[in-house]
Amino acid sequence: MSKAVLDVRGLKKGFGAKFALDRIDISVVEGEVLGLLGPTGAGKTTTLRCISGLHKPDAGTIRLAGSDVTHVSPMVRDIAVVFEGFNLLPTLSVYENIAFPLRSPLYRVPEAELRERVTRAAEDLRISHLLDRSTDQISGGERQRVAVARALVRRPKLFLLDEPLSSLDLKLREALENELRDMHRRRGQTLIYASHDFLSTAAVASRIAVIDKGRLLQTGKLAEIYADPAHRRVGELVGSPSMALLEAKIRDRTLSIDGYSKAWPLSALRLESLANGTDVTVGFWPEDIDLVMTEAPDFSPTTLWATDFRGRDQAVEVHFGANRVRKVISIRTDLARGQSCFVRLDPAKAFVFASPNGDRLRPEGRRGPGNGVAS
Amino acid sequence: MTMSMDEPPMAAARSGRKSFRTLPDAWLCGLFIAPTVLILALMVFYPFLSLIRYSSLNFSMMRPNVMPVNVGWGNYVDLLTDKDIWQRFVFTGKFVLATVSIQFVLGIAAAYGFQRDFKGRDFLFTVALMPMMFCPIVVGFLWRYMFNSDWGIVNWLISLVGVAKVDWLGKSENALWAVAIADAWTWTPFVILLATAAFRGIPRDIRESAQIDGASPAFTFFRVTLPMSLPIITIALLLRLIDAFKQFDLFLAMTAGGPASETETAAYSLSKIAFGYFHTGEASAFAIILLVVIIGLSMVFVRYLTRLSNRI
Amino acid sequence: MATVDLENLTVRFGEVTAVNGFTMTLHQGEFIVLLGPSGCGKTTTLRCIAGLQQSTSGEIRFDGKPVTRLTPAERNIGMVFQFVSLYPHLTARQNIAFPLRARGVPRPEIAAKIDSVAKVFMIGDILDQYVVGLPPGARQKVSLARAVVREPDVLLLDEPLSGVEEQYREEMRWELRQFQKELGITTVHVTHDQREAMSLADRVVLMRDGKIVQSGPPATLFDNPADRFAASFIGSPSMNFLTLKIAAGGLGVASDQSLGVSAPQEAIDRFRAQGLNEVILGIRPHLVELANEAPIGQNVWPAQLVDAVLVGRNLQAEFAVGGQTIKAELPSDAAIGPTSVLRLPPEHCFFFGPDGSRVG
Repeated sequence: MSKAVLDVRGLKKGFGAKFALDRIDISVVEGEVLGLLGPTGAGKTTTLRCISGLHKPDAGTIRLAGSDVTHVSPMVRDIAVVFEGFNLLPTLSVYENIAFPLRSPLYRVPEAELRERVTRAAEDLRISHLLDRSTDQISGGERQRVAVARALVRRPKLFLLDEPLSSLDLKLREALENELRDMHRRRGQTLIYASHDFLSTAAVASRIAVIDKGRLLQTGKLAEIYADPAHRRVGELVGSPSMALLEAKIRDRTLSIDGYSKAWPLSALRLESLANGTDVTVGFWPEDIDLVMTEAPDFSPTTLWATDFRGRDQAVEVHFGANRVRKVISIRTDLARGQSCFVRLDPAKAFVFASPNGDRLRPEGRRGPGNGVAS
Repeated sequence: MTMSMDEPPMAAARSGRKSFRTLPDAWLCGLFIAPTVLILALMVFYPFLSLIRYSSLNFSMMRPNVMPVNVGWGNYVDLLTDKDIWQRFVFTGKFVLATVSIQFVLGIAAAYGFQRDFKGRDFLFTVALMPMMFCPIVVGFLWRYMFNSDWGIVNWLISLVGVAKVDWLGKSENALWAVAIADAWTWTPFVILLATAAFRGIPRDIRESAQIDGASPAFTFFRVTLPMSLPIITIALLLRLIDAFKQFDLFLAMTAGGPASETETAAYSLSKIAFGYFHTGEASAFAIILLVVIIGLSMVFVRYLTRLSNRI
Repeated sequence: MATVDLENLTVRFGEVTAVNGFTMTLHQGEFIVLLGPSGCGKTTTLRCIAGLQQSTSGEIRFDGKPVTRLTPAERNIGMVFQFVSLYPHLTARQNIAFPLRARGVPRPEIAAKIDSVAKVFMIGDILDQYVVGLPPGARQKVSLARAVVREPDVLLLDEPLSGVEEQYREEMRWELRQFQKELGITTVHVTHDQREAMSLADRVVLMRDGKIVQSGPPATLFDNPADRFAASFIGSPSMNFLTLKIAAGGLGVASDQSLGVSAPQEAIDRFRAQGLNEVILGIRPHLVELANEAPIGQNVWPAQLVDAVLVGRNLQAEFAVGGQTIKAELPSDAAIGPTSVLRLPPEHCFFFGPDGSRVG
């Protein structure tokens, strides 16, 4: 039974008239990597700053390894943070940067042990050869590793990474994501990784918390989120490409998607309580949408809008009615803008969201994941 | 793997052992700011409040034992209905306009020139800044001798180009310009400094954009560099206006307010009332009037500035 | 619209050579992407074309006319910078008008040109707003509009999408391609993001340390990389590389010769003739197959599972094979266990020499 390292309940934080965080609940168990996924301005940084103690929350509690640290000053909480930009001390060498936290009077680490821990952290991050350099002589990727080493050398209970990779080259980012996973595997360090990039988060995290506009929309393993997205925004933020969200209306006890040739009876979706005339949004994961180039029974016509070569496959965007769908398909060289394509949507794979607030309308008569459709 | 420092941080905080390094942040701030607050209270707030009180009395510092009579708004009314006082304000206004115009035209032009890197630029820049470092009263005497109608160097120079000698300090219209020139000489470097900083602050991408867009250096300067420098230049303008308004030393040295009281600025007038005639009450009221004018001016500028910075 | 010729362009900063003998011809209307890691010289090359950077040697010609000595203003180019350098004190309309007013174009003509360019970029409704308040997508469009309003010979883009948020980037890429095709302007785009390059380019020019590593259509760089660097830089996730040893029995994994690799005999003979006793095998993760039923043999090996992450609908699994690592991209329901069998289809394997050059 893994013990909880972090338990945040009801976190609220406002700045002046605006609120940045609204009732955030997060818990992280020992050894896990929690991904905090959300667009810029969603509140990821504010959340991390509250957890680390740099901001005082307006309400809520933060418990670290069982003790309440909500009002404890940051230097005393056993948390390490790596910020975007890394915040290395420019006047010190790499060795001194890594050693810095241990020199704080709070810890009073004897010099011999300090040396040993710094060298070990440097080995872990493979920067032992850089220890004597000054921080302006090393590359972006190396700086990130120094920042991580500096945070790790204290062996904190919890490690927070705030979008540490977004300023880096794509290839470097990939390499460092691998290293983070590697490092986590070897040391069992508990991590919260905040990012706006879905692929980056999914590559590193074991569980994902989706946050938008200060609210936590859903937390769970990626497979759970795929099976049961809680909100339309979750569909927009998760997946690459993200969920296809289609405008639809309830008419004559059936659900018709704008531009799609078939309508489905509400009973098939187990949403009989929806009234006629209601507007809803229907979401499909692109992988659940079938797309072909020639007419076929059960397929509805669409127009090809754009193609995007991705090397081993391509992404296409098709339009029908007021709706757009982006999907990844294998490479074809015969595609032209404006040509007809045909899509088939499976009501068993449909997720219905209320419009305009985006809440998921779960099938009636059954609680739990899945959309409960008998196909 | 157990950590050797698992316990200390939390323990130190909980044991209540107050070491200097673990004092709550807020206490430390309070401690550091206390002396400043004390000094401000004694030397700014208290005198200021007293000033307001004096302005409603007909009190004189020279006769502290005489019971001051409360005249309410009397001092203010007397000042604001006095034609001579208004003349002082008009003169001050003209002076401010003259000196600030010279400072900004020359200052911005010089800063424009300093944008390009040329041999000896840094040296020239340092030399250009030197006038700021002179003591105002010294500057006053310096220019007084230079503006002397008989043997002053200014008259000699203009005679070289065939212009007749000018009575600089004897006539108030000329004296206005003479003092304005002296003041501008001292403070144009300030404008150069700020304008240079503003110009340097323009992102390189924008300057390159303008190049690529085909703009000539002059077009770029008037359409891009200057407009984008407006916030800093506005601040400089506000500072120079306030300083010019307060100008005293130069007039003391160069004209002593004469002939008669023609070249007395408002500040000069105030000093005469306060420390010449010792009408402390009246002087206090005058000071408050000046303060209101300056605050009013500043508020206009600050509002304009905030509007500007929302855009840039 | 013009053809651009770069001949032997070299730029040196003191001892550092940022661009080293860059030669290429850009055809009219072509969309070229200069791709490479930081410091490879792509931005320096772009700035040379713009005239913002003087080259140490080499010639640049637009439509055959040398422009190397001309200032940026004289070259008739349009440029969009990384951090969208719009004039913040002006409205969108005034920004777009700026290059025309700078050249003294008469007012009615300016108005007409702005209207036509606003139609292309669909920004008619925001023309009179101050650019500071516009969302990043709109700012990019205004920036592009300003760059093309003069109908320049060449359009230069310096990582214009890197300041844009991830969620808008894909959308803007597609739109950028559309605009470029519609306007037909020869375009040079600089980026370090190979996804962007794949998506936008007619031709990709991959650079490293100031030199061109490979240049060609995106599909060519993906399917036929010129060397190991190109193979690892293009494609996400990155290509797997395994060290192989050439022994008497043939080709096998260096740390475990029992794991054999099939290769045509002429290839192996060629390796030996070149004096190689080690080659690197490259294969992309999505082409590695799970083959639990297949018999172990050449290119079919037992592997220990190290880690598996669900990313999107695919499982990115990491295996240990003979002490080396192979990453595979498998469907989410793939039957992987602590030991599995992997197959590396020979037709998808690349061979590189220890120096990185392509040998097979």
